[in-house]
Amino acid sequence: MDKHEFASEFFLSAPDVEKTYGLDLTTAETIRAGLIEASRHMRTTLMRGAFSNVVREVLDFGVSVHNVNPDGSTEMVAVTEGCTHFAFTHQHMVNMVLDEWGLENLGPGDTLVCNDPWRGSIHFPDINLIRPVFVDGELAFVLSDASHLTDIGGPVPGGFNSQATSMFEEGLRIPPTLITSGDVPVRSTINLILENVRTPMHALGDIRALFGTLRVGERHLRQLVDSYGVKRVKSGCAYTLDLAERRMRQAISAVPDGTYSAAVLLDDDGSNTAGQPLRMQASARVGGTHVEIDFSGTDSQARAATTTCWEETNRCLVGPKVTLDPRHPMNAGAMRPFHVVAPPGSLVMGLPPTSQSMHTEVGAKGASLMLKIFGQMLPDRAVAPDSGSTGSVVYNGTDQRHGHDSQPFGGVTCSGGSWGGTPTGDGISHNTSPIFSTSFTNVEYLERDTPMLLRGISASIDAAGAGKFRSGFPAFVAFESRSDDTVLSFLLDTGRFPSAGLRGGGPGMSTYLMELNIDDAGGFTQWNGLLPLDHVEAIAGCFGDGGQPTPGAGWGAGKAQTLKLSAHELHKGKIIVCYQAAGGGYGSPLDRDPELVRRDVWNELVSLDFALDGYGVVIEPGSLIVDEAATERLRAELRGAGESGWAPPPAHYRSWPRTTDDLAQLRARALRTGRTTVNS
Amino acid sequence: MMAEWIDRILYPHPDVDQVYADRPLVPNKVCPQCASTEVARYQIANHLGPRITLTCQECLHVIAVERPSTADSWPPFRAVAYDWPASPAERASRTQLDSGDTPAG
Ligand SMILES: [Zn+2]
Repeated sequence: MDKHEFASEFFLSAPDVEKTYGLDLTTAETIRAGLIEASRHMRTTLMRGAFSNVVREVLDFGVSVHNVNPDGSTEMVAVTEGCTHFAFTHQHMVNMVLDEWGLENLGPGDTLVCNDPWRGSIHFPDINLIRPVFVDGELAFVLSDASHLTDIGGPVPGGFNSQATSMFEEGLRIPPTLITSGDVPVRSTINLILENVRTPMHALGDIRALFGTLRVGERHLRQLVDSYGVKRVKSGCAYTLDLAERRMRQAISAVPDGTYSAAVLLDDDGSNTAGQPLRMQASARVGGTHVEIDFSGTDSQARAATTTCWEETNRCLVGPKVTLDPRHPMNAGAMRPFHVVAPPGSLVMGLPPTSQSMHTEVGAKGASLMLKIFGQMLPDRAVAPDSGSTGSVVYNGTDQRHGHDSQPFGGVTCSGGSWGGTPTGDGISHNTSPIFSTSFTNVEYLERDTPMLLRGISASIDAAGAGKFRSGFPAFVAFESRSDDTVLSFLLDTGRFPSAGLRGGGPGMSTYLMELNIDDAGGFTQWNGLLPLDHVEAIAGCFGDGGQPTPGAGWGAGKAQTLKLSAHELHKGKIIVCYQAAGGGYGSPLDRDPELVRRDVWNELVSLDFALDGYGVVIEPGSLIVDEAATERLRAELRGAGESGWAPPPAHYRSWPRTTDDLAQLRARALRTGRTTVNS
Repeated sequence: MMAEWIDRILYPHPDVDQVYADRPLVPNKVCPQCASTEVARYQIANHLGPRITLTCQECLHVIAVERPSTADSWPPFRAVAYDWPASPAERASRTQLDSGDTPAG
């Protein structure tokens, strides 16, 4: 449809629907809902059936339904909640894989498998299945699903090899390959996968779940076809796609024509050589209801694994989707108004055989970049940047607990950073980037099924970027393993460059990794994420004097020169602690309601020091009552300092306890009964 | 059986620090919307995947979108056997369908 048709008329009346699609509006909407319903049944099946924690708990999967166009291209008509990026990648992947395989070569009961990022997958650990659906002997629809396997072989258990300089150091690469033919599993393909991974039982369980999920999707799609006939269901698909396109074009039409650009920095390429930061640059040019996104000016592909190979051409559309039309169900129609330029050889279009094992951090920063750019288009909807890091800890090894026979184990936890402040409220806490939106682990399952113990998870005090509306609070997580054969990989960034605030807001805390010994009592002591520094080994992050976490202090004090660590050995008797980065604050913290600051202090989310330094709010230590007169005086003074004088400081706790006694005193002070206020 | 070897599976590391897209102008092409001669032909991804666009650089009018030819080398990666005929094993189910051996769908 030409964009000018949309400029004057975005809405379709019921007679328009009847005329354009040959369907009454109720039927068109019923078919649209029916397609989504098919994807929801697929989701439920996959979550119930999958063996890996990364699928059933972390929700790192995607399921979608595609319509086949007369020219052989396909368009995703329905997708449901899972890991967000599949809602963009599968539209390209299904087209790229089917173009290569040839639609004319597919028959009923065939299923293709592919995990190749150069063909639209995200990384080798994702197993993507694609299944044609024939009606009356004609290819009418395609179903696809994907999930992240616990392991895909290669040198690093779990598949995230940050030091890889080529894909040959990652894991198994699977070009489009038949995994079922006529509904019978292709033995050679199944064996190829199971014999190349460390967790074959989980892999087989997940592959069966993926296959069953496609069968369930097909059954529901056929019910829809039985009710309405294939011709009308396909008309309903056209209606569904056009509706999403119309909504997106309507939203774009409200954006002034012009070019909007921004850049973001990643810490490093993961090579652990204190390398240069990586810079992603992009612009979005808006003309009418068409948008061209261009990554020109981005750094060339990394020497180590922090690169992506195709997926940013579609994942970048999370920016417009979240900013311009967040409420409508996603489908390929919402992608039609966009062209994306990603120059070959750049960080977002790495050439084979580059490694893109740490694609996650490019994805997270890419989403931040797009929210920055699209936020400029509609300033009312701009939000401060989120953590810009995946924040995942990947664990693998053999289970040496009694009775577990050294069986392989593995999984992923996504404890979440935080989102930035918004024009109307504080950012969300413990949440991953909008391009992932994955969930945290079920701790009981983790500790039953693996030797891993979650020793702690909570908000980190003073971590949120200050603002009129502050960012959310990121998680700190502490893990122990009861097996000496345990390795961890960390998908982390935002260690060197804290997420900035917006419109006067302050930067959030940056990312830290630390390790300490389990104490004589068999555990460890912390208070709101603070540890006694004399007992802590700094692994990675910006540490100042004496190991004090200090934003911008450089890598120096840490054991590693990167937060993208692969195969880090976690020995018995040790606890590894990961502090996720926070998002930035929105608006000047001097404009934050002092009562909101007091509540954060009461809840031990903000210290008295940071209330003073970061917000200009004076709170009496014993009673935790705001001294309103002193606060007004201080804020007036800070405002008077003007642009050159005062800016919100980067969020972090200023003076960590050194000894266990210091820590005990901190805890005791917090717990004493001097408070006269009640939190409401 | 094997056609000419088009190597799009292995590349050297790029020797530049930053990378910019090529937007070569098409000689004698005029934008039907704004009459500009700044019409470029270049590599993009649209909603369907890798494509080549003919877009006016003046007004952003999209004049045409086409599938890339071999000479376009887009996307950068292409399988060696991309154009080879499918083996009988790879299309066994389709062969059955075409011969009417299986109940359709
Ligand atoms: Zn023009």
